[in-house]
Amino acid sequence: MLSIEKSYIAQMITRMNFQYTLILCLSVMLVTSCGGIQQKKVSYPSKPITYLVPWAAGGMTDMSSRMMAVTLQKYLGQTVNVVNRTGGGGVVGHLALSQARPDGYTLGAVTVEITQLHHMGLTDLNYENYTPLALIINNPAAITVNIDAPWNTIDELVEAIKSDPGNLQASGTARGGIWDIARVGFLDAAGLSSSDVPWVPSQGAAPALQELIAGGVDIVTASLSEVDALRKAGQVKTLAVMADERLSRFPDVPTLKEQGIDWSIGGWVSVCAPAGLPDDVRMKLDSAVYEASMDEDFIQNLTQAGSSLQYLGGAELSEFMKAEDASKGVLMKEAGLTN
Amino acid sequence: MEYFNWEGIAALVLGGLYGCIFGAIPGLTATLAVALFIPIAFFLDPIIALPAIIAISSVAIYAGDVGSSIARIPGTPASAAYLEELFSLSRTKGPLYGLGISAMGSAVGGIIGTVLLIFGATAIASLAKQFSSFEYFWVAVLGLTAGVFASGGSSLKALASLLIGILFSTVGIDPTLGFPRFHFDNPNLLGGLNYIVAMIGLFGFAEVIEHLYVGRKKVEAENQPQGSAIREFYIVPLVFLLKEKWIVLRSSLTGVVVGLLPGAGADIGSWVASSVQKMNARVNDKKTEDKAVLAGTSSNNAAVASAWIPALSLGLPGDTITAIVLGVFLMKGITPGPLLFDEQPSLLWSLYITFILANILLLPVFGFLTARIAATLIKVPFSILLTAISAICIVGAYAINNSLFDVWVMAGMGVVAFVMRRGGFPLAQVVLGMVLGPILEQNFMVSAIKSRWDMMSFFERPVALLLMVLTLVIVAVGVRVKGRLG
Repeated sequence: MLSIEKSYIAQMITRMNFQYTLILCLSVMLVTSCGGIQQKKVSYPSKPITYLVPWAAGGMTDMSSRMMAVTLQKYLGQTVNVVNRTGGGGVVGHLALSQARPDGYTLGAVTVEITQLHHMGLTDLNYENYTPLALIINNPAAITVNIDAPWNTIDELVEAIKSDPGNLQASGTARGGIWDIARVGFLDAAGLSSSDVPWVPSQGAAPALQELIAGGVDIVTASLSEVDALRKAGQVKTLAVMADERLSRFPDVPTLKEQGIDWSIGGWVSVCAPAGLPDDVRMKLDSAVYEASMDEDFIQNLTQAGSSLQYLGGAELSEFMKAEDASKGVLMKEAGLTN
Repeated sequence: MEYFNWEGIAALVLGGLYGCIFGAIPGLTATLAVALFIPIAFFLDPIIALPAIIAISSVAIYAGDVGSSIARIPGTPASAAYLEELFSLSRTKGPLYGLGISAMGSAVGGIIGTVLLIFGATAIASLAKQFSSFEYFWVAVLGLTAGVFASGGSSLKALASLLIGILFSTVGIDPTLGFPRFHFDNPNLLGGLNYIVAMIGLFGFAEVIEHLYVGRKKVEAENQPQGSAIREFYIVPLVFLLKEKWIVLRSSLTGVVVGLLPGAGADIGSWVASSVQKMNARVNDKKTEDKAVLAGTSSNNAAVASAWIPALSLGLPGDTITAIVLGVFLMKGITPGPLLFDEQPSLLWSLYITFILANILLLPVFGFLTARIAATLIKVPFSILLTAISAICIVGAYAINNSLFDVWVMAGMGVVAFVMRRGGFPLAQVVLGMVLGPILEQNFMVSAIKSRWDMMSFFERPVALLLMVLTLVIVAVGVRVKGRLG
């Protein structure tokens, strides 16, 4: 039975005229591309929206942005297409969003890197190139060590660093990346110098954790959600999280602040539009993004994927980015991370 | 079986067809296919989502061979290692036979990989745990060394191609210190040159330029056997596979070992396996090409399965696809790691069965269907096929990053390939250099920084030392074999 059907399909495809198919494809493409020309003046949004993501498919930014796009679709009544524009440590995608027309038909994810890249001299872009709409997730950094490490609290770790500066090494991402800055800030707040725990660059949290388990580095400063699987597997232990208060999903992990070290930092993902978005479009998007952020499915899916959700509206987000930008500028200069 | 039902089977078949299309079109990778599936996976039960992902990745890696066989364009980087052999095999003995070997090898390799995943996951994973940047550095050296001797022609020219590839890989932000290199103030270059875009240009677009240059020269398929499709696709390859069962076993094991190293995966697995095969080739062996294809194709599917070993047992993703799978796991409240084997045995068994089913279905459904289509396309006049190839090259290069700049990179690579081919320089080595160059550089830098520039540390760890010795063995054997062949 199966083989009869199969050969029938094969024959059908065989008989299809190749040129005919090609012409058909081309004419469909032509017709669809003409659609854009005849825009009538109707209320926003009247056509599909593009959602630019500056990081590769499969990562945390991509996953949260795709969820936001799907949910926004529900509240805007238009298709929202996710497009990954990767490369250049996030520069390429962030640049593409800043250069898009501010008409509300190009939105995108702006991530924590926008407050770091220009300090490193990789681009002139900064948070002022965007119209902030909302903060979606903010995953706090954490201090994780090998399960066999002799330290069980932050105090013991800080003592170990003080007694032999420069001996312990930390990793988690590239040089000047968010978890590197988390390390610098932690050492600064604990009264140490950034050279007391040198940074070993890595291509993200997973290779750094591999090094941690293999004994290549001593400390990983990536977020709790990234180390959670290995924590549950009993390979690593997390001494502290760099958040203002304990995370609801990890009530057993203390914060740095509880232990007298005043420092918190996280890797965040926001949704933004290019700078200069008209007010009427902005108001419509503000409320749609707010509704999407409060959507039950959206919250449930992202929480289960291990993200810490934090909603901030446009004005608050703007203040938040400004403060982050300033504090990181000072830290990165001190640590010699600016080129 | 709690985790096994007809919905899972349906997901498996549909996922396989979807993976088939993505694998066959250059530029649409297995990773992209799985990533686009995520928003759907969010709303599906894991018993439906996971079989679909397994089928997508297993079939896409096989389907990467379809492009090689029709038009000398590998659909995925994992197919580039034995591209020339498969293309020439499809031209001389027919695409049904070429893809038959490919499908048969893929299925058997995938099943061997799965069997090792079932019985050795925790034990093998503890091996992967020993790997730090020193060992990765030597794996990259080993892969590059194998690449030098893998070419049919001059080793010196292969080395030159490899170095050109490594040079291309240094464009963009330095992966360890974040310093921008060779970007000429163009933000598009900050991200570096994508090796899939390069691959499309080197193999696909170069073919178009070549034919424009050569003119109306006929490149007709030669006297292809007129036997029945069933015979060409199933029986002849099966007989061959049974005869060469040791090649399949050895290559699959190579694929498993390389695939389970986080970050290495199917691409490098197929390179190492087919290089070993090509180096063993004897003079006057009429089946050299067939064997190289068999070795490469069984190793890359074995690697797809073994990449799940560190993911399931340690929670460390072996490649980009398993990284996505881990995300799906966490979303569904399943925590990977040693506990998974005690707490969720039925889920694991359904994963294993899905892997085996996906690899078995590869033969009658996905494999046969694509091979039949390929057999038809190969008879289409080349002038028409070239138009389609140009279109696919442009769309494929654009699709990687949605960037018009990449289309120009692709076209430029086509010109580079055209010139290199005139000088007899192999092209596959350029891709290998672009894939392994960053791994080599990064792990060298990380190791050096970690050991505070003590170069002896590269030779101190036992596994690192073993890999170095293996590299030297390859050099010694390679030089001897090349010397004998003249």
